Amino acid sequence: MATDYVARARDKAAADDRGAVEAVRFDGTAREYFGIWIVNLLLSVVTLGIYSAWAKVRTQTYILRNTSIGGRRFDYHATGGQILKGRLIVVGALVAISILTAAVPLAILLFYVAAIFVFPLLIVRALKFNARNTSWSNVRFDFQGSYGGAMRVYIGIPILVALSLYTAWPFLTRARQRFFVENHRLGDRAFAFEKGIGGYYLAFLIAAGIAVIGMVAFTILFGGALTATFDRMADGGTEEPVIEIFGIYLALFLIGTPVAMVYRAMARNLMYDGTTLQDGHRFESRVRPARLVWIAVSNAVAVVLTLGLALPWARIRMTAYLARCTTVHPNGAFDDIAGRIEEDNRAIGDAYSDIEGLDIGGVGI
Amino acid sequence: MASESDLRALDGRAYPPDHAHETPARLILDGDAVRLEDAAGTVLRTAPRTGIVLEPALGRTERTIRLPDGTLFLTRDPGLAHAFDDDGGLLHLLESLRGPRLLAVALGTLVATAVLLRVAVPVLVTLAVWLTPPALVRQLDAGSLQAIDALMMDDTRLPADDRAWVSALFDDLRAAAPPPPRGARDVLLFRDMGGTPNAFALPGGTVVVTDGLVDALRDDPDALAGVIAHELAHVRERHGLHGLYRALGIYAMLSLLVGDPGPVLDSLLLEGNTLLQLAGTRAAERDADAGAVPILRAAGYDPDGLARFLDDIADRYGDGGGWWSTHPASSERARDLRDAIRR
Repeated sequence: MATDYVARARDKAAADDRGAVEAVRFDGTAREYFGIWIVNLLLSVVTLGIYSAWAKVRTQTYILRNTSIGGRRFDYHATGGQILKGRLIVVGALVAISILTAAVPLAILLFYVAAIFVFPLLIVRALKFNARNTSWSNVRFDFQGSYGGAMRVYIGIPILVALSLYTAWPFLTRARQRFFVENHRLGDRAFAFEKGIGGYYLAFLIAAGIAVIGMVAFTILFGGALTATFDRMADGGTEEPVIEIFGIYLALFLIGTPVAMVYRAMARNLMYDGTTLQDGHRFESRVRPARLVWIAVSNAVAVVLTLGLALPWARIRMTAYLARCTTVHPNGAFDDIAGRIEEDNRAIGDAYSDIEGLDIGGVGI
Repeated sequence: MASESDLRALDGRAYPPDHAHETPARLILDGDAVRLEDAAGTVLRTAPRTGIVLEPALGRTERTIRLPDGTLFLTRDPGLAHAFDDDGGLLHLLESLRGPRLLAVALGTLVATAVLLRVAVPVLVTLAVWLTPPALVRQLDAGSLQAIDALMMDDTRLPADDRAWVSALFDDLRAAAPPPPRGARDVLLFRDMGGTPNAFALPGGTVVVTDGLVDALRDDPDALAGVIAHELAHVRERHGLHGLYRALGIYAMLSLLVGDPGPVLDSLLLEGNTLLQLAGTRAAERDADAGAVPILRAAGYDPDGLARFLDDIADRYGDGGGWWSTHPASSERARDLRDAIRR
């Protein structure tokens, strides 16, 4: 019976239009997501955070089910129970570490050393859990990155990049993207990644240029006032330079945000452009850096001004923009994609990334 | 075979297990059995009615039905509600509220969050403090001292008779104060911090007084008693442990409740958390000032000494305070103290 079903799929696939471009669609709305978000928040608060595991599943499922390529949607399969278990273990470990380092401060050195070895493991676990619990058109993803590979791109190469005084940063971005893309599978199909380094250096130079212009502008505008304050302090003044320190902080934030967002936008475009799925489906991303900076900054302002109530709107707006910028160039029919992926219910890496915010770095936004 | 009227059919699309192949399909509920047919009426799958799973509704996304073998069936057929006697689930109903009902849910969330921060977090923190074993509390002091000694403190250079009268003053206050909490023990230590006047308490009851403080307040025992009583009050109210657990709890809850707020906002959230913690330490300082007054009175010292000392600090080092500070403004603390003394 099953073979019959699949055989007809092949016939249909052969007749499918080749070479058409499929846009990534996102159909979620702020109105609808607000309802989901506020109910999630209410239930999470009254259960002292326990429900947040199920809230995460509901949110992820909503976002993924509303994202589709060629009319076929994504889906999320992790359960609240798995995520709660991971979170309890991670919260327990973090509390134990905090108390232990308060009691034996030197132990913190031990934890720093241990973190170097544990961190790549958590990243691999988080990527694997997420991939295996995400599907597209009823086919699950997988992530097959190794611990050694993660050690290389999250610990080894960053050390070399630091030694290069960060001039080799574009190589790090590309290495992380390669690790991310090449180790993903959709069913039994592998993703491949190939992209020259030139585009990454262009992005790097543009970001560095914005940083330099920002700092020069800041020095011209406020340098005099700051020097005067610090001179007065050096002469034994007792005023606290709160406004000044706050101002420097704000300036770093105002300059740092566009620098980081412009680089991430350009890096995202490069990653999608360099990615192919086995059998030749290609991807394309056309995120406009200035537009992304505008969305990120105006989102943040809206959320702060509404005391958080605009969060659902901000999230939908960002997700919709990124989807709108992404297209797939199919080579042949999607119908042929298949493959069974092992289940994954070990959510510790995922929980750690939710709590501590794992920085996967340079892969998407 | 049941009659035509007993059949309930839903139109949608189906995918075989672990296969991207999409086909228009019809799911037919036929008594205790379910069968999936393609457009030509060929039967693709059959399953018992009890073996299939209808997932709860989520937004306007297609309804999801999973067959036991992993076949996926998606449908927007409005007949689903009748066929499965399904209203989409309670969550979906709550999420779909509009107008005044939605406003009520939003207000409820706001109230619940306020209650969480004001009531539940303090209760949980108190519980965690109560559960902390006494041996751990003492170890916290030993560990902190080790770090402080290594990083910022030297041995005291105070002559023995200075240490003797300060110790006597400490004993007076200790005897007048309520007993230290479980696991804590009142211990006075002298350290030199490059001449800077300072005093602080550790969670296990260790109170450290710097040479600079003793030198500055040699002629004003009431003020020195005030500072030490303030530190004893910190120990009595367990501010050290409370601060530790509060910071951990709020951090974990914020990151879990808010989820991924997206770029820019994630760093703003961290700053917000820091400001919240600073508000917590300022509140603890006010509590310790208020707690010092009865201790000073019971031991026979003038509580105004601490207020005088705070005025002096404000003159010498600036008033301090504000949302960016660990301590409230010295002038404000002096005023609150004098209010407490008059009461």
